Amino acid sequence: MAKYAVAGNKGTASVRTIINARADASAASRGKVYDYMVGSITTPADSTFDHELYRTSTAGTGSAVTPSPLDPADAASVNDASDTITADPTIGVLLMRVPLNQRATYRWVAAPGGELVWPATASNGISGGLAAASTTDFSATLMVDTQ
Amino acid sequence: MRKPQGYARVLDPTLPHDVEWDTITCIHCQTIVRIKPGTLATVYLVWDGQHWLEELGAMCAKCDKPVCLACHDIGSCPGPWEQQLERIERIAARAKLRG
Repeated sequence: MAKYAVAGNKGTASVRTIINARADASAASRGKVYDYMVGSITTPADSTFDHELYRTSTAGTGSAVTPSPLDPADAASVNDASDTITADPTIGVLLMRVPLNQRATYRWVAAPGGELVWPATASNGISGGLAAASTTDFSATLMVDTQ
Repeated sequence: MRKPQGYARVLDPTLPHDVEWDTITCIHCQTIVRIKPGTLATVYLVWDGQHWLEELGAMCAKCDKPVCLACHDIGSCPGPWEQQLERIERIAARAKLRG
């Protein structure tokens, strides 16, 4: 199975989503998120942000990000991703919630079998984001295994 | 914790040391749950918006795996997430065929 890194930043639009990885709209394929890292790239400040991982069922509006293969010999990813979101995707089930100081960096890593899997259904995916819309910029990376 | 399903770490310069914890992934919905250290997944730490509360952990007797408290409250087993995925994909495939 090929593994891909999806790295991006939120931008300053008032939205919840920092980064989104999802099945392609026409050639849907499953993806497994096994690692998530997030931190703020703005001027350090003491504010609390509720960070989340949640399921999404549409692409939303944002800049396309090309998932980067961890092994350069692997083919281009069949899945899609986006960052600098200006309109949130349709947000579904909450998968993780962790409150963090804006100065903090967070990382969650799945043990084998504990990955978050999205279905091979058009534009269904998993996003890293916030519990409430914010204009504060964050940077995040999702590591995705394909099936 | 033996056989954790995940691990989380917070690097916060305002804290005296890094904070780390094991996690489990709910077998029904895949929610990631923070585990109280040294409790073998029998105690969950749940964020209520202000504090991390200690809650008794939960298992699905049918799947024999830990579940999140929201799934435990439902009281029935919808099957492991893998089975639910197959159901979701079948429904989507049928809808696509119908156009």
